[in-house]
Amino acid sequence: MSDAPDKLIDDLAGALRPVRPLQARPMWLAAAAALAMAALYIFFYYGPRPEIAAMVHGQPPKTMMAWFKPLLFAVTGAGAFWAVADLARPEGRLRSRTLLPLMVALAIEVAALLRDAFMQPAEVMTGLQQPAILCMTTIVCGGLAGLIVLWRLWLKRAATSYPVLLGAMAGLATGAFMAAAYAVHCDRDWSSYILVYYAGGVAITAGVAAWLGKRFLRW
Amino acid sequence: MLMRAAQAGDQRAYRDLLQQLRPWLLSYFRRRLKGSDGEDLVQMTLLSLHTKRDTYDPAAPFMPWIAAVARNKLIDHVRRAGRRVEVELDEDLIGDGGDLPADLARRDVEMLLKQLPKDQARIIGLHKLKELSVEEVSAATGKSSSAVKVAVHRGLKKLQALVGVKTGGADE
Repeated sequence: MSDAPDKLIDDLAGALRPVRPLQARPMWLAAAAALAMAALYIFFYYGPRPEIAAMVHGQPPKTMMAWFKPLLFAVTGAGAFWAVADLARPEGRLRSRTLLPLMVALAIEVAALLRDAFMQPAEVMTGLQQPAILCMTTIVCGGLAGLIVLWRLWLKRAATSYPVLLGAMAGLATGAFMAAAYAVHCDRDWSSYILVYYAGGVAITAGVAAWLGKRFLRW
Repeated sequence: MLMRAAQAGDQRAYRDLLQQLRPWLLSYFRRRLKGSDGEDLVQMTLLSLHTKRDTYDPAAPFMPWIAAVARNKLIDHVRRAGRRVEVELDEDLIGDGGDLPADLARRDVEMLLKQLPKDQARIIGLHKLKELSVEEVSAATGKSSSAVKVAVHRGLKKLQALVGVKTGGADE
């Protein structure tokens, strides 16, 4: 045994201070609060889609997409947050149970697009031709704002074995939650629109976060 | 137990933990890096343990956590050195724990066994911890020898899945 390791152990023990173990619950609470705040922001500043406005006044929605679209992205975001909670520890890894919500949401959307492509191809093109700047900028900007909050509250304490994946999942989580909030306003329900512009905004957020993860989540 | 006390600020427990871990880490790195004394990596791992000690979940086994920290330091070292090395990812937590302090290993195994069905955990406990033969476990539990073997095999696979072995290396 050399002296250097013994000295290091002495130094580390001498410098020891109590720490609060990393817990997932504060992240979940913050994520739920952020989703609620984002939805309220969209509701009051962008205005609700007609079906949501009708629901607020106690009327049943005319289309299930009024609630299904926000739910789809909320489930996607929750699955990604679950993955973030797992991946933040050194021994953490991507588990099939956390991927399940993401896979289910993706499968639903792809199935809807395939159905439209075969049964009403004109609708697919109509969806793609809709203006989407507000949609994508809101999702990307809101998702990145959420990512900053998540980084300060959670990611800066992480010690992951998979920095790129953790970054991507964090971006996917915040982007999907922002998409869920934006869906309170947006009544463009074409499957092609959702898959290209909504999912595109979420994918951009996840890509930026993956790059940030590669750069800054090493430890 | 020691790590939990260390998170609470118990310096004596922390010093004990680091001293107990040091030979295990040394052995871990020397097994994987031929021709290296591994001492630098041990020190880097102890530093990482210190700075990231809040990421240890007190309700989880300690061994997978410290093994992952060590594996990360090893991968960083190999990447920096531009060397190619096989990083073993299938540490056998039930069998040969190397020089892992016995109390740490035993506590890990006990925590993991709690996550298995009661019968399966009992069979693995008798066979792997109390070192009874298959026939002795069979007599103690009233199950056939082949049922005991199957229970042990499946139980160990579940335990491996729980601690994340055979999952590939760290990304970028």
